[in-house]
Amino acid sequence: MLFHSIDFLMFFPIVVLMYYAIPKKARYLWLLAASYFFYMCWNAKYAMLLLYSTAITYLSGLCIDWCDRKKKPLGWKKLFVAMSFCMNLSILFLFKYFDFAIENLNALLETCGLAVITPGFSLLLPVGISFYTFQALSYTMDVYRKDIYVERNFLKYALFVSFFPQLVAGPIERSKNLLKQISCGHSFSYENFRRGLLLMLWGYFQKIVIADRLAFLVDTVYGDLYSYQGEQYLLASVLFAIQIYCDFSGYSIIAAGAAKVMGFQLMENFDCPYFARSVAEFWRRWHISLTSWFRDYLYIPLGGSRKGAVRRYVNIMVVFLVSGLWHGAQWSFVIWGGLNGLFQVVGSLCQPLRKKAGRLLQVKEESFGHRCFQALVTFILVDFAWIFFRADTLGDALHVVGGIFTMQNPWFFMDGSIYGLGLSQKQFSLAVFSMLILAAADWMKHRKINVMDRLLEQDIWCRWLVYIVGTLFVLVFGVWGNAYDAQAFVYFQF
Amino acid sequence: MDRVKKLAASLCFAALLCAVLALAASVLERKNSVKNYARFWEDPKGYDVWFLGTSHVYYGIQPMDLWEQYGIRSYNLAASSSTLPQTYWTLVCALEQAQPEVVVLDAFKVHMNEKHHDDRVSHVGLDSIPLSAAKLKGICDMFDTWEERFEYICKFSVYHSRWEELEKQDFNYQLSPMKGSQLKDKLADFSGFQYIAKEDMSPTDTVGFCYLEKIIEECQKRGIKLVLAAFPFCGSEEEQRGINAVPGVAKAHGVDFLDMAHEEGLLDYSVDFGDRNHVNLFGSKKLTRYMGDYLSQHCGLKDYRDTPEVAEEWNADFAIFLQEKIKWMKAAKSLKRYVQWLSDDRYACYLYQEKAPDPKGGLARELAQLNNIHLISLEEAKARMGGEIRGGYAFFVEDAKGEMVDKAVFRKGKRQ
Repeated sequence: MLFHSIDFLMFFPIVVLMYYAIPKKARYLWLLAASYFFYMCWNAKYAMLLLYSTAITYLSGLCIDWCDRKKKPLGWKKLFVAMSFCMNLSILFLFKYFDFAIENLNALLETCGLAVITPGFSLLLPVGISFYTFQALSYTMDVYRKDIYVERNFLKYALFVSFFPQLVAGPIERSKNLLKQISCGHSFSYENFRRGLLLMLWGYFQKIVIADRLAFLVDTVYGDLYSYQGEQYLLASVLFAIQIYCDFSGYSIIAAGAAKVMGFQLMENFDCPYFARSVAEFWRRWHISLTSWFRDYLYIPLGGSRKGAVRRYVNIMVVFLVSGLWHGAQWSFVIWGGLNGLFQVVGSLCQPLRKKAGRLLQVKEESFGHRCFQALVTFILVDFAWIFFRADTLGDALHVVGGIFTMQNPWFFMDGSIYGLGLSQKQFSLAVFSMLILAAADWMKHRKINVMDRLLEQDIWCRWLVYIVGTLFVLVFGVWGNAYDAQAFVYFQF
Repeated sequence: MDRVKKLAASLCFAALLCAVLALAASVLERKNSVKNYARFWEDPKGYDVWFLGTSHVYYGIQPMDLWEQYGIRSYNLAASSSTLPQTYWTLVCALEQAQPEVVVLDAFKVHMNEKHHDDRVSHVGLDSIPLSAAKLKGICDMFDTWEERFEYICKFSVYHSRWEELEKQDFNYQLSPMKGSQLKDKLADFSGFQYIAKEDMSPTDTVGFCYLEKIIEECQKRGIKLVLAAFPFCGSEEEQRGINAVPGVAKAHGVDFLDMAHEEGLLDYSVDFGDRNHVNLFGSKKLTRYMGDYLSQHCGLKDYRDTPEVAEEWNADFAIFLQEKIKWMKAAKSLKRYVQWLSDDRYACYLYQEKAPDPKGGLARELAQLNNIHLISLEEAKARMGGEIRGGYAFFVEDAKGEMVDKAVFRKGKRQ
């Protein structure tokens, strides 16, 4: 069930009500049942895969702990870690990458004049498999590194892997954070309840008011590329950057809000990424849970930045190519990841040159203008890469890039033509207005102004006005209900 | 104490939020259903006859004319493309609050096996029905998925997106004085139409027939006189076969069947239809008269025109109804449509015509329907107009008191 579906609007209050009604000691059992129910609403059979991943990583934790207690050689622990990774990643490979692998293998075989392979089966991608697999594997590594105690209660551990607010699209929680919270009982807190609902409202604003509205325009252009030209590609690509941010960030915030209502604290997954002044900084602010996962479990084990500059750049490229592949089994995703890695490598290589140029030109690095300039350049680079993420194929992405660079009609943006791309003038104006609200909120966050704290400090009439206007705004202007086709979360394909 | 205060504050907030959302929902809701049926649902008592069915009925029968001519208090609860299940549940919801003497049911759609149409037209009939246990039951019966059901339970989920279309009338609208009816001022010639043989019938094991039986049972259980009716229409053979099987069902249950479709001489198919399925103002006048005669002769209904406390309210509504008709008359831009509005015998119409219309044309057929038309000379026309008249057709419409209600000049079919 989607977060903005009627099912979830009925499911969530019931879960929360029951959660606080039953004794503290049994609450995790209720949440576990609710989480599996939530997942099985997508596809009941694939809950077995979730259980499989849970069981393997749970057992790996016990085995690693047994090695420690029995003072077995390090190789034994590494073996259990390797087994956990192989068994989980093989399932991920089978469901997500098998077809891609066969497709590429067949391309190679055809080139060599050999017979192609025709698999006798086709598998549907289980929703959220990339997320919960990584989350479960992080536990194995954390136990190996002794960052977390071994969880002996299988049901508590199962809840850690399947916790419904973040199960299908993150954030990818760490056992250090979430597992400990599962073990504590949570009493009802009015403050958590209130803040949680406000977070959910903000998340819904991003998702159903902004992201799903922009999707009409983006899908119109990207869904029929050859009917449009460079100007439309540029507009759709810029708006896609906002769409994917709001879609993913909105989901994460709704997840965090839903968890907070029940007393759980999830990690922050986005930190005003489009205010970043470099691509490297962008990736410290975007999908923080995934970036930090790759940093802790891939980049650092590969050597990180400890083995010289060349090795560091290679590690960055490896991490981002794998990240691209994680996002989707297509070459366009790999290229997207590769581009982001490349931008960081080139950025790092050019840094001394940029600093020298800055000194020569007497640039004030912390001036407002320079910060804006850096943020704009970063946005352009990131958005360029997003083209490869959004386009259906590599060919389409290259066509879009070509079209943008051979744009001929800049007046397109001013002559009213933009209102023929799936959004009427009123709809487009609403989208712009909403994006301005988002920009203001993100700017305040970037300046370390806690908007929620400031709001909650106000008088009751002011707070209530904001709550009512906010709720009304989201419900009236949101893209939900049967008037629209549901715009599924972009990241659900992962 | 702090907890109690917070709880009280939360409840107050929730109530305020609900009130604001309810207000927003009422503004955003499409007004078709509300305008036509809200008046009934505000007070379902006080109507002796309920008309149920499809648009055949709401174009065909005018409750305000039934009031004026027979003193019958009726409401037209028929809804666009209403299936028999929808009609049944509308009846059940209404019977929760009131009970009429007579229910007249148009049996069109009995041939259908679907419980609802796919195009959401059910909203027009269902939206104004207040939410109740019966309505919920009906929605669950008619629609299979909770997604479909939810949009009828929480109309806001569908109408919230109407913010782009909002007009002044969404904030300040008038309920229709037509008691659920509508009027069609178009002209279509179906003089060549032939009904299929009455013996050509459809099977009676469809969902439509099943719900027809339920309606019969519901009415008979409560002692309500049910009249099944076939309204004239130029529909498909499948639709006609369904209607042809209804007399048998009616007979089996001892229910009256009014076959207006096959009634000789009732309608002129060359001039009384606005389109294939619906009669126009001419046809509506004839059907309403026919229905009024039948109801007053066979249903033992009281004539309330002499009951002051009832007549006062209904006469006031009737006056508003006449005002609305005059407004539509004045708004008619095409000649053929304008002539339709002159079908009302309450007005006398003085017509100057530069030359007589083609006897075979639609205009001639329409003018032939009027009982109240008087031809005048150009001089008299100029005198009435108070100025020059340059050819075409000039109409001068007066009410019973001789006061001018409207004057209009048409050239080349368009109002000048």
